[in-house]
Amino acid sequence: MEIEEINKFIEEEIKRLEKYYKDKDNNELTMAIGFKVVEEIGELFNEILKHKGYQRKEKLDKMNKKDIKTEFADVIFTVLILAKRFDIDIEDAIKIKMEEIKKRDY
Amino acid sequence: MEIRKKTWPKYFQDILDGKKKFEVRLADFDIHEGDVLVLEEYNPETKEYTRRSIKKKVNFVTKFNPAEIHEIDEIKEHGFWLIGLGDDNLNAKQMQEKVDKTIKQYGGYWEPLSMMARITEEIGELARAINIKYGGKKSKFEGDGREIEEELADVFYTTLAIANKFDIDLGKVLMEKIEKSHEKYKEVYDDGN
Repeated sequence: MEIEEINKFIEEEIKRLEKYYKDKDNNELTMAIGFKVVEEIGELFNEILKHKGYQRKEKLDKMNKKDIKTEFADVIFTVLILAKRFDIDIEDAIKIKMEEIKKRDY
Repeated sequence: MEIRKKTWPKYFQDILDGKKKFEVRLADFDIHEGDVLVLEEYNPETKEYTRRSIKKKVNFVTKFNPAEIHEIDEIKEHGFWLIGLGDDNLNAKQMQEKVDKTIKQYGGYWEPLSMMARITEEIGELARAINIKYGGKKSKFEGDGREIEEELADVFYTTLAIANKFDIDLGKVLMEKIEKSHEKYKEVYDDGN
């Protein structure tokens, strides 16, 4: 899968969201999209706890239809949608960051 | 003003345990709200101070003369009740103790990072609840996303648990923080009035 394919998907997704949230003001929509990231991060940690054998029974029952694999995709998608809200070229941003990290001493 | 008074061991212990939150004293001295009362434990049998003492802030004081309300004979016959007025609201310390009890009952504390994972998860659920109510997000099915208050309570519970884990007196730290930010804002917003 090429990044163009993901980009196209994200663009369609954000158009759908903007239509859906047409009554929202711009800042509020950005927040709503941002908190979607928080929600997905939360679900990812729920999966992590599950893998450690830590989760409460009731939560395990509710969550077992989802697995950790798609939680990663959820996190990435919500982040990409948020970045799109800020008109950020994520491919470019990743390249810049990779160069920075390579230069770090550990 | 600081006022020092003798206290008998039985009463001293009750004050120390937080059970006795009042003092009854003969009004032969001056005392005002805001004063500090230093209660020094005194053993009436050995007639010696035990060297234990406790400091309390006076947040309420009133004076009355029982002889004006009742017949002296009645007072002599019945004496007085001293009644403590509590309420159902727990303070932060009591909440932490309750959480501690519950956690120890169900398997004990997790490692710090796992607790952090838990609070992250709860924050995520709170974000979802608020987004459903105020962010125009549709719930996926009936009853999806619990009430904000419940999610907030989950975050709070985990916060108290983390405080316990690190031996933090959260109420105390919170009060210090409020005090500090109050000082900071006073500088910023106070226009001298």
